[in-house]
Amino acid sequence: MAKKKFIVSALAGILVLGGIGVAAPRHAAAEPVSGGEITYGTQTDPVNWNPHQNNQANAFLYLRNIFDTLLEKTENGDFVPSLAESYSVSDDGTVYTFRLRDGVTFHDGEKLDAAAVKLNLDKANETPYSIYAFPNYDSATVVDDRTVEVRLKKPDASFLDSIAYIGWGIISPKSLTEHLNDLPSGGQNLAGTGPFRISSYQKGAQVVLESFDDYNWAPETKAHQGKAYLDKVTYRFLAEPSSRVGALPAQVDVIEGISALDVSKFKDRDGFVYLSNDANGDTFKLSLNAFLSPLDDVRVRQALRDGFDLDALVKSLYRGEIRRAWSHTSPVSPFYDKSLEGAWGNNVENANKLLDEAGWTERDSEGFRVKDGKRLSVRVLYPTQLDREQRSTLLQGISQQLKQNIGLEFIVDLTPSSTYLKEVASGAVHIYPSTWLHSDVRKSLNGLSNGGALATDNKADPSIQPLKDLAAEALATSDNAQRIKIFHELQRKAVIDDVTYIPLLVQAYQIAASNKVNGLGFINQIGSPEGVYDVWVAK
Amino acid sequence: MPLQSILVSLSRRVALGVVVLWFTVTLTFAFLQIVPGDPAALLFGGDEIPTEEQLEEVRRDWGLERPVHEQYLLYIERLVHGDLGRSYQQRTEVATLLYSGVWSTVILAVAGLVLAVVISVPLATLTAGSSTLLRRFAFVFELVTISMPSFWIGIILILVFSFTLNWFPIVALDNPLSLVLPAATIALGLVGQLSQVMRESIERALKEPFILTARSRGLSDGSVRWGHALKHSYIPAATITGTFAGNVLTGVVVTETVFGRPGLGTITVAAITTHDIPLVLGVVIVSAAFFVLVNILVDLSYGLVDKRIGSSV
Repeated sequence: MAKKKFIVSALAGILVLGGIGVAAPRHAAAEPVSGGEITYGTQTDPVNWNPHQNNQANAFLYLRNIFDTLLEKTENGDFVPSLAESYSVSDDGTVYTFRLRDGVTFHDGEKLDAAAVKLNLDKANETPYSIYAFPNYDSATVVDDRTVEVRLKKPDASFLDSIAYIGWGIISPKSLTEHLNDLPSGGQNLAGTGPFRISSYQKGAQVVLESFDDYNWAPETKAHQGKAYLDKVTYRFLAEPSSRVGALPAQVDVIEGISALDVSKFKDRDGFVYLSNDANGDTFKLSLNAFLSPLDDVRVRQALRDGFDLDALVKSLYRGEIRRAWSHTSPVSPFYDKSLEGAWGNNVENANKLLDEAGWTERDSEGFRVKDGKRLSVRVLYPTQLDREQRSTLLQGISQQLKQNIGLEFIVDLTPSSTYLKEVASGAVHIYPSTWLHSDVRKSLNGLSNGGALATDNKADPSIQPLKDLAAEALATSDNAQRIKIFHELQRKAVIDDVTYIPLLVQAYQIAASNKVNGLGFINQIGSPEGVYDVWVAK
Repeated sequence: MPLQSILVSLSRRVALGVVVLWFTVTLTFAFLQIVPGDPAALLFGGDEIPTEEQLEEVRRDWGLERPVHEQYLLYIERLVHGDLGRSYQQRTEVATLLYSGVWSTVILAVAGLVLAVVISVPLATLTAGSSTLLRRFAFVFELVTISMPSFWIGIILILVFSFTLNWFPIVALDNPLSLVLPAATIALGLVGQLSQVMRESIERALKEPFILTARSRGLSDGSVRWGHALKHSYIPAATITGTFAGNVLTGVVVTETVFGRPGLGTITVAAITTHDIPLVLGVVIVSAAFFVLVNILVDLSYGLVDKRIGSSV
């Protein structure tokens, strides 16, 4: 059974390679060259270098150079061998057996064996050490030197997502036992099996990685085998966007994170390569609290959803560089429900009719609707530290349209607050804009099945139990078609019927580079920029 | 000046400094008590809701389950032992994190201060009491640098001298030339005030009888300015430079961010954006200590510049 899976995924691998060729057609014909180095201007100095403890999607491009995972996720959602050369699942879906690749060593000379993998899995599931503990993880057992058996408490489809996620990157047992407390701050004690090792790290400035010459275990999702093409890569942290943009190409060879206003400097320009990629996982959306008046009336939620012209707002703000969203789930997710496109939004007439029906018929002196002496008003809590890509401007635009079109007061509360999640959890907030940047099926399902309860686990309201049951079924089933069907059903309920989410933007990542740099790309699993294993520099 | 009086005045200033520090520390502690919500969650920081286990760890470290006065004593005791606590976001000691940025910031600040003095001294000395074209130029230059925010100065310098002319790199940190533009950004934030203050003192000195005496001895205008009048601007200049050095963190936050340089400024910005409260508190306490130290040094330097001041300050 395992074998058959790998034939399918080999085909997938070819498809993925084809995809890279399409992204940069100019270079498809050129022959890769080994040697050389690049400087890469990036947005983020990682808060924490330990992959078990880092949740910054913008830091995964470093970590993916240093660490490998047991499996690797392909573009169309299959899992292919990486450090595990094969795996099998028991019939009841609770026991996963991984057969490890032979001859893999860590940067510090340690050998990859079943004991090392068991140690990593146990650590990655130990709280509060790890932030990626898997709820249904039970235990790992060493069967023999190259075989590990993992037992789950119950069948769970999102397990392989965790296995392939960089959060479960395999760290050298020596690092984990002797240097555990040094790992967050990076440096040479942080050893993985990846194609690059840390040569030096200067906090707030840069990290220099050098090629790991023994590396000979690239997964088939990669464009080549053997050691990396580059000898060295310097990631220079340039948090200021204008500094990144200006430094290319004279001082850096590649940058990531380019605002819509700057894209024209690189896109279709001679001497540059520009790539952009939609993020996997969830879209940027409004989460509506369906338990708080006036949003406890589904007609009000629907009027809010249809009372503004999202297309026009997004077009004027992002000049086509960022797309509007139609669903809670990203359009590049295998679970995306395409039928939602064009199915809702910008229907002012109907929105007004719904509000009339709901009894919001009077108007106050400022033109807002009133019922029983109360203004039709909702408060959107948006913490300033999450505000990027002019999102607060988008929210203000929505606010203006809602006032003009349907007389609804949409207060955008931009507060630099360290307690905003608590405020959300307390249930006193109407709307909370959010994004999940991962493709973890479990978290997506949790969000989709909360029935407008905002916080993840605070509502035991019986009305949302059917949703929760559906989500649990989607996680437990081994039938992917069934899972997709449930996902579609949940998306349609959340966006069309219940209106607990109003999708706004598809998140995107951007890379720009001098055109002598080839082989850049994005991580299949989450869509953010990939490491530089396949990158080479034309002579 | 007798040694004893130096020691007395020094110990008085140190005692005052300790009081200022104690006050700062108490304020940071009060902040933790006043901010609404669970102090453990606040200290943990980050954008996600911490788990009960994580909160338990914070409560243990800070003794949050104990009465407030015991928490306060624990806090003071830890600080006295040089323990600034732990960052739960970066899972590293705050002191270690701050230390990793200190040298880079000190180098930048010193380079900026030196450059400011190197520009201001000749500018003030040459233009004091004259109404030449140079004076008018100096006036405009000072006005422009005082009114422009250093963020803006930094961006313009990068755009012109790094990205367009390609004279000074900002990316290659091992190249010493990469220090030039950030240091210039810091210096330009100070030059305007510094040279105006110095010029005023020099002009006042130039009207004094001893200058007339010097001139009557046949000294040239140059040696009168450089040899005699300039000395009189040292004290106000030292005060301004000292204040600036004390505020150095504010300056480097902006400069380090624009230029993407490592240091305390970058650490501070990261701490604030990730709500890393223990690290923010550490920055507050360390900069207060630094401010106190610089002020003591500036006070002492008055005595060195002008023997008449001595212990009377």
